[in-house]
Amino acid sequence: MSRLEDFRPKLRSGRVIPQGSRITFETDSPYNQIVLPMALADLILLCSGQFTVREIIEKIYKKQGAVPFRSLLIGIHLLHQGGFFENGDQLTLSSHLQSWMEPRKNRGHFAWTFKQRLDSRKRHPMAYYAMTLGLMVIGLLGLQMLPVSPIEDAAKWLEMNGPGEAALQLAILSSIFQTFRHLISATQLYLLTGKVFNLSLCLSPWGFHFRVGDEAADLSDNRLYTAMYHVSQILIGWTVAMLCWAFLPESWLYGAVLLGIVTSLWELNPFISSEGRKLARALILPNDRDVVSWHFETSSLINYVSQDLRRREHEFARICAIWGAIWLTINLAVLHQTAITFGPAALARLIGSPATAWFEWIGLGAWLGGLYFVVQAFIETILLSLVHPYWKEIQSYIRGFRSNSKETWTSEVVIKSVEHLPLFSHLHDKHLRDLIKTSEVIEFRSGDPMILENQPARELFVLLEGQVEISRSVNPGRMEWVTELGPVSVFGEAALVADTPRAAEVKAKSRCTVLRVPIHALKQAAQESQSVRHIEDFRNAILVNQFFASSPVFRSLSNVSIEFLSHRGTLEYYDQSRPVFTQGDAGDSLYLILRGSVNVSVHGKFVKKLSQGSFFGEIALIANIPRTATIETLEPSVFFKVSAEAFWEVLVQHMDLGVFIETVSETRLREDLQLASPADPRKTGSDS
Amino acid sequence: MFWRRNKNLADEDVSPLHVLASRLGVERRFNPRAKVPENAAFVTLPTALFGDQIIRMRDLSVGGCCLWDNKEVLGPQIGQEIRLSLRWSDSEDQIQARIVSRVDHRRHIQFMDLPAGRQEQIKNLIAPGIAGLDVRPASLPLSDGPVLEAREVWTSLKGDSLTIEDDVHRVASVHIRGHDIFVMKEAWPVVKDKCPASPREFEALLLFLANIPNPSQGIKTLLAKLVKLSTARSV
Repeated sequence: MSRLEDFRPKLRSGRVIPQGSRITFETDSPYNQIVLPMALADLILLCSGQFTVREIIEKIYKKQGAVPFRSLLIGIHLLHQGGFFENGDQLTLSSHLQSWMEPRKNRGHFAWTFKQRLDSRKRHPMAYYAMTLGLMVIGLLGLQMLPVSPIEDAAKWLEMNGPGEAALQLAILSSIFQTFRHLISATQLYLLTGKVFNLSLCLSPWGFHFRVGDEAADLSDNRLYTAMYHVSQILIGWTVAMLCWAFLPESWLYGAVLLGIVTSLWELNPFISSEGRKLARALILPNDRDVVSWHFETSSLINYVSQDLRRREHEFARICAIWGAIWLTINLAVLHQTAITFGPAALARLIGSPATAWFEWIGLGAWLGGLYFVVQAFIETILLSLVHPYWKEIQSYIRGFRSNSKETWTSEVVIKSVEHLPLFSHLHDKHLRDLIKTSEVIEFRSGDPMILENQPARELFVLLEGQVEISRSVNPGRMEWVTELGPVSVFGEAALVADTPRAAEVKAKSRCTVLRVPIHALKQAAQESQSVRHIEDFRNAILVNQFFASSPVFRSLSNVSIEFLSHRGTLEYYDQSRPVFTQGDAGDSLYLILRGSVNVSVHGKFVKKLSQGSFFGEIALIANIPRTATIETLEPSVFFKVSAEAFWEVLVQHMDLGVFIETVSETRLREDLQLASPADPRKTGSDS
Repeated sequence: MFWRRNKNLADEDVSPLHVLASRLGVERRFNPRAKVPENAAFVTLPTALFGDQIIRMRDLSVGGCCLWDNKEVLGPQIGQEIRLSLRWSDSEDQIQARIVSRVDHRRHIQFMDLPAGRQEQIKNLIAPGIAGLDVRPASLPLSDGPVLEAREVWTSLKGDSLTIEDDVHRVASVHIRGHDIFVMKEAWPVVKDKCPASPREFEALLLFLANIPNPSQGIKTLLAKLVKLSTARSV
């Protein structure tokens, strides 16, 4: 299974048909069709299995000078979800991104698919609406059949029919129920979307029945209709029971009621892909075309791209946890009542004649299995909803409680953590070891100050563990937040250059472990180590490293990419009130703000201020257009300038960064549009 | 609206950044230039005259133009100011212009006092040509990839495209800024519902094709055919 960038997409054999602003890809066997924007033609034509997604992006960039990351990602997702990739199973995706046309892995049932797809060009939404409304009403009426004490009624029914006959009745009824249910579902989907997928005959724990997939429900563009579909499917057991009422013999009626209860409970199970869960997803989670976060679940960048989606996913998870707890409690009550009703007689038979009490053994096995599932799910729900979100804090507390930092952070461990930092990578091994020996590992609790403003600076610090916050005073009594740093990064490096007091305050944001390095020892090590020529090189390297360690965007890049960018960029120093570039200039580089701040203006109007840790100049690169704003420094500033070539080399390796930059660019352009409308067209200018 | 869930991806902007940037007025460099195809007879674009001599226009922008002065009527001096006439279909403008550079017979002219209304008019007229500048050839289908039902496809990230067809009746399909134009064999190009393309649409097509960078032989042949149609129309 490969990551998206390393995936070599191979389309099934088919035809690509250009149609104006759109391009259609069509397969014959089985027949399927997808329509995409014409601008994604390269993506389709390059999906031959020869190129990885990364290579495809590179080719598009070289040709067009820009890459539409989000559209590409959505295109790949739709192609994969539609089953157009021959090798789609090689792509690592979230579990719920399953293809309609790939054979589903049958869990506990055998199916023979006799028709993959029924396709009508027409939809009948009004007929669907009327049918589904009718089904829901019948289902609600069917709920009247719900007995007051179902377990006791079940005991009487078993006594009346005998266990063997009862089991046979249930098996037959269940097969009929499921067949009816899927026939109804197929009709609903056909009316609503004009399509039905994966029609099969199935042997499952529900019996032997006709089955149809519900993938077509995703095609509906109306949330109300989708919600109605899922509600009708939750009530379907009662609907079918009501419909069968007139035809069933009296001795079979309770079996129908029992199936109605079981089916409804099953479809309200939040732990499986039940109708209830699908209903909650359809109502709570946004448009399922927003697939960015699904492809990059582990990328911290996506928190910035899809904050709303993340928030809703957390809400959805909380709702499922509460709902799960209620559902499990109901099941526990059912198990309890079952034990009270059937337990004494069953146990008596098991003890008295164990060899012949086969029905009781099966019943006991099923009861114990149910109890195990419920208890296990209960513990899992509590752990996932209450423990997991705070697991990092708990771990950090336990680790802090149990271990002593000085025992954990031995010289060898410290050297391994810091040797890649530019500050130390210049030093020979021996000098680095000697330096570490003269340094001290110190622990800070959350909120402890590490550096105070105006203090003399005689050491620098390396953050090994935890988070720190840097702020400085702008007015007496008022502190301005500057940035945050995470491990492993350097701070307090101003002491390296001159013996000036501290210009900012550093405080521990969480429990931290830092390495305190005396400046005189560092300078001595640098002098003795002939690979270091100037302290200025150190300072520059620290500035760059600090940016990458603190920036929430670039922090998640691989070390290889960070090192690549670090070596391909140049430091630029600007005085206060100096223009960096003007709106309309050609754009050839990205600027990372290492120190200072800048003013962003569009058409002469102030838009925003950007400070240390941020970046600018990305829009011109990602969209291949001129500079969209004028940038001027507000104070003496230091920027790290990255060429377009280096920028794109990193983007093609990190698709999630590309998506992030694109999203940030879009947000910034929308803000610019809101705040600064375009100026009048320029009067005659020389461009001939 | 809450109840709407899915959108049709085929109708979404692939590159919303370009759309936003163009609303902001910074989509391209200021005063981009559109090439004017040689020998084509235009009714919507202006004709350049110096005195009573018509001078062929090679390219045109809001800021100026490039003239082909093979008869050396404009003079050789760079920086020289001249009085140029721009003849439109309905009127003629006398404007002050300056020769800013000279390469062989080409004279690069800067408009010094072109009225704002005409600037806007030129900007709209050359827009299809500017769209053509961003078009690139789509990748060729590979032997083990899907089969392309066309001879050539050219696309841009802004959604413009050109398809050179493999059809009995249709030579090419062009999509420019949301409008489709179909070039038929032995017939005038048509738009939606098979209506003949208007002069403006036809000339938009000419400009679009003429400005595609590194055109293939197929595009050159297509352009030549359409230029011939334009001159036949003017006769």
